[in-house]
Amino acid sequence: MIRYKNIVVTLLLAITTLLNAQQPVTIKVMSMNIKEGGRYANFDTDAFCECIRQYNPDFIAFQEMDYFTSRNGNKDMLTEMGAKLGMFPFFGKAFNYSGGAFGGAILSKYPFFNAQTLSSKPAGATENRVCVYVDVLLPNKRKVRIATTHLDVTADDQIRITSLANFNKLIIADNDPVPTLLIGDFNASPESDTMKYAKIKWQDIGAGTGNTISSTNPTARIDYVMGFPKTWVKKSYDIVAYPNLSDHCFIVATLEHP
Amino acid sequence: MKIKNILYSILFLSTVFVMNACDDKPEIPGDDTYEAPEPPAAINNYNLFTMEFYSRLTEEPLFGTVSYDAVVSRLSSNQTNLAYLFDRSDITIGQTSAVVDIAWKSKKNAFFVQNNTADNVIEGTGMIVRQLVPVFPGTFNSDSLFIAGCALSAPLYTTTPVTLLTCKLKEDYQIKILSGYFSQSTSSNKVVVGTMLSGMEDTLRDYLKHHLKNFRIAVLSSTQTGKAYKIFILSPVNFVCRGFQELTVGEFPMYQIKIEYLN
Repeated sequence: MIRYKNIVVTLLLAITTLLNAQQPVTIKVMSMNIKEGGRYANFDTDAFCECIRQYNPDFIAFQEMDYFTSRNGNKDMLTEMGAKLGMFPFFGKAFNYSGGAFGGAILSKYPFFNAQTLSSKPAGATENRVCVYVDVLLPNKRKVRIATTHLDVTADDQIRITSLANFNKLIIADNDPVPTLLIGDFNASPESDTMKYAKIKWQDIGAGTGNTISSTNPTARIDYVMGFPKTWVKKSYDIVAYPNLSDHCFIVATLEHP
Repeated sequence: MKIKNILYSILFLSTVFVMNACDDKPEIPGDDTYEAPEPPAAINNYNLFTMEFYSRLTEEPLFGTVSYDAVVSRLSSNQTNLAYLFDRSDITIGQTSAVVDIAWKSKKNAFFVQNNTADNVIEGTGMIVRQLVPVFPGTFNSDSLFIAGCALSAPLYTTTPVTLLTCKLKEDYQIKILSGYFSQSTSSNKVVVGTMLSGMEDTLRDYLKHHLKNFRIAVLSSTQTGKAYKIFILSPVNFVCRGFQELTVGEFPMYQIKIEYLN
């Protein structure tokens, strides 16, 4: 009798889950390479917050974030921005720097229930690189994974490809295709071997949009919002320039996953 | 849309019917002979760490509109606690979280383990730690039990990895979920410090006794009456709670908990 009831409960819950799963994931994200921990803005969090507030994103993927470095005045800019914006911070250290740390970071409007920092330093790479991600259960009960990375700037595509392969293994589960975004500075053009490799697994959601660097004269596209599985729908995708904040343009995108 | 609503109604009513027909206590089969070995009588202070658990142990939010300056001051001046937990430090989506604000002002790192899902106000437990945390492992089940926390290095006689987790138990069925998560790898020094509704402790102890090995469970109660919740500490057998002090920081009740690592 108990077994029968358990089967019925399981079936009912499974059907309920399927019905819930029909609600799409709709989120607004920003990608911000803030150039040497925010040097252009003199490490002023208010300047970044003023920019971010204009777009009201759900998630911000930062690259080149400083953490208590002497150059930024020994402060945690991420947590400071989190407090000012009403968001939750997660910082992933790539390496020690200037008395503190340097790496990638995420601000999330929603609390995250799981977060990881993945490291990769392939042979020949000059620096350790990280992929930082958070897992969030959205108010509509849909799970989403938001990741950020900043791939090596080296001329050798193979180093970036190896890092990407390392990250793919840990953030993508083919048997559990959680809607995932990998956002950041890939240091590679759309035609590069790096991006050809990236697009095997990932959807280049901003394909065909404009260049992202420099912020004063954008001539190359190296910042991306990549989606997994490849069924993301681009509702809007803007590239915005704030030369007072960074040498990179920022990406602001509203995306939906069915 | 109409069909979907009808389906939902049928599912809801069916679920209520079947759930009511079932015994909502977790099944407790098998061996109940497990008893954690007695820890050494003498405490090794070199392997002792403390943490502060801020909680009203009621259904009330911790902060509300009360100033938390005293907490900021305490955290700014105290550099010895491994972690600070803030039960029911509820958040409103898009508004400044008290825990993030306290962490920023005291130069520490903030995390938040939600207890439920909601569009606007989310209940949960904030966690503030001194260390930079590369891994914040966690899971959720049926959007009513979230278990998460920080992978830390406890500065003991030898630096020891400790994954400090938290959750809130309100229903008996959640015990099974906690037990399952905990048993996935008891060797990885997971210590769960959470709250449970008063009255659940016997069920918790019984269930764990039948389903886990090599663990310890401690239940801490406030000396004050009228508390709806108790604090529990679930750890591998190589950790033991060595007591707690009931204190007040500003207007906030706080339990300073001592845990020893038995290596």
